[in-house]
Amino acid sequence: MASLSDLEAAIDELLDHPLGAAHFQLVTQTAEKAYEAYVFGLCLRAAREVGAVPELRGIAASPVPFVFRGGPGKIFSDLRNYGYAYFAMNGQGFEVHLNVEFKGTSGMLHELDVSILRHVDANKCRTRSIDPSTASLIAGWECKFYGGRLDKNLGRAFVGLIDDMGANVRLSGMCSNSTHPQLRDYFRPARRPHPHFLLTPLNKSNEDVFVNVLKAELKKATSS
Amino acid sequence: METNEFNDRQALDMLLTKLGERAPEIMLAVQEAINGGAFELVERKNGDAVGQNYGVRRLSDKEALMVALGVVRSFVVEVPKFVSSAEESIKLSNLGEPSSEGRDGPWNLMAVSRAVGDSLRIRIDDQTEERFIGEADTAWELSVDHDQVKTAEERMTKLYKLACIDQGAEWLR
Repeated sequence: MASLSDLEAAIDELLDHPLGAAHFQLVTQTAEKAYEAYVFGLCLRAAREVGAVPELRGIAASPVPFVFRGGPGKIFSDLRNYGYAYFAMNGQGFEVHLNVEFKGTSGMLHELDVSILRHVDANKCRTRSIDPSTASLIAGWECKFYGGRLDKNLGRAFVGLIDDMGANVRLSGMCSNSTHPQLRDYFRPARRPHPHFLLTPLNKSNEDVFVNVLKAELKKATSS
Repeated sequence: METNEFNDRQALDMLLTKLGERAPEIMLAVQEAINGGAFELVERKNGDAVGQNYGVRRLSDKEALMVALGVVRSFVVEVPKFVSSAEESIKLSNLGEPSSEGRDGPWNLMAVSRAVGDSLRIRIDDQTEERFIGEADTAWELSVDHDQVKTAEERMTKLYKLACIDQGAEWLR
């Protein structure tokens, strides 16, 4: 039978942990970015599982340290040596980026938290200092870390964003460590983004679903 | 059945008090989850024939406690796991050179890891690019120890079992 003081001790023990209270300020400010980095890592896993060898690159130099964008940015940005990953499959090159802006069919710029685009197009954009068009985009994901509830307005906004990306986008999805039953229903119709809810290292089966969906799409995109 | 000397309300109050003292940002996230969003996440058991139905009702003390613990777990266990998972995946990749043309070269990640310390550092800017200009070193460097992640998870599980002794392993999100 546990007492209130037992409970207090257990809470203190957790908050005293090196990843506990002292870490909180750091993680609350970067939790969402850490989540994007996690989804980025899942994309690399999918590439590896289809036989590709992801290679880390930086815009201007070797990517050490590997720098993730903290906000929307240009693919050709030279403000910092932002990192991305390159991989090739069946003779076609792809790049995985974070927080890169794309030019929608309306001309409006949209940021995708995690995206995969064709390497040849990405290179052109860096050379010419232009934003990538939707034609270069293979896949894009919105990533939301939520300690509590998931805001359903985010889902509606992402559907609008993907709609402006045109018909070339092969794969899109909304990833979150949280869930929302109504949003799950909202994403159910065909052509809507995949709802990758409860996508977290604590749920291996949901990780596998994400990776397998991407693997299937990469295979389709590169089949001869 | 084993019971605690405290009830769910007391456990929730204790958790909120401690978070308020030591991790106020997490407490705000907990309160948001309990007071706002969690209400509409409750699925009605007796939805109509057309499809699922979602209702709004006040959470019980037990549900609120479980929501609160779920939020704490998100920050204490999940976020470090995001970082360690990303690190692991990144370490399995080759290291290229600047973007114009990747170079296979002699680089590999382990060599680089030794060059920069114990592990490849992952930096995450805390600025948008526009704000970033002129603020050279504001990026966070995130790196977590895998053993620490494991022990944090163990302490979280211990707290959960202590607070929700009769609830099995189901977390409310």
